[in-house]
Amino acid sequence: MTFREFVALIIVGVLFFGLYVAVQGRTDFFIKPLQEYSTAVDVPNPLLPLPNIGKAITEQEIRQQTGQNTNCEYAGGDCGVNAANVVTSIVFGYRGYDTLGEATILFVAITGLVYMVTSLKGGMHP
Amino acid sequence: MTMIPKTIVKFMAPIVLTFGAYIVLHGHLSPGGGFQGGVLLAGLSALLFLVFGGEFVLSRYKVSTYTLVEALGGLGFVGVSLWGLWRTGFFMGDFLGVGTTGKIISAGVVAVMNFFVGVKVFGGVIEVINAMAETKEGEF
Repeated sequence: MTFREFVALIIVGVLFFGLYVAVQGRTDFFIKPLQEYSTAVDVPNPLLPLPNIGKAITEQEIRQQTGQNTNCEYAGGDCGVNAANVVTSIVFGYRGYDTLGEATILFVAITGLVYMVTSLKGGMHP
Repeated sequence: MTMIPKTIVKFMAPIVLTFGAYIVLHGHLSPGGGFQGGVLLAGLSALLFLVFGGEFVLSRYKVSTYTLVEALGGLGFVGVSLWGLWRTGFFMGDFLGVGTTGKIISAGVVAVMNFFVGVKVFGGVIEVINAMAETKEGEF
């Protein structure tokens, strides 16, 4: 085992230990039903007869953008992210996993491209 | 190329960089964001590649440096997300204060992740342009 493999093992071990410590003892993560996490507010819309379709995020985001929850200490629940840009607060808040996957795709694609070009040119130090 | 595009690019370079930095840092306030600002910052290298040629880009932007920049951006993004998991119990949870809407210091962890994604895309797109500059006709 080289030194790099040892360091990689240590880093992965620390990551998994952190995940274990963060989740350990919190059984409500796995028992609590998903509806209790939802912040959707059932507001009747005269233009849309079906209730609460396509507006569960929008109402919350509009309330954040108008700044009605200005004295929140932490995000979550009634307090949103408080970002003035609605698109950024959706992309990094509600769709954070999508952004993470997108960044991973870009990273892997560029890794392959740079590996291909440098190996065709004859190594990293020509 | 002739003198005219070279002069234009020399005048435009600081403006492009300032505008890209503004787009990244105000990503949570104004239209734009980390991805768009990073591509703008890296687009200057495409301009230089078009006007000054591939050798200039290869001597100006080192691949190893920008690999490090991209890796640090991605590690920062994942690190902030895992830090939020540690502090709040939610992946990408907000452990900083949210602040007042519209101020430059607001939006908590969204602004930080925005900045890291900007750094990551900046490094990555510069690597792509560098790979384009390295491939010359008749070498492969």
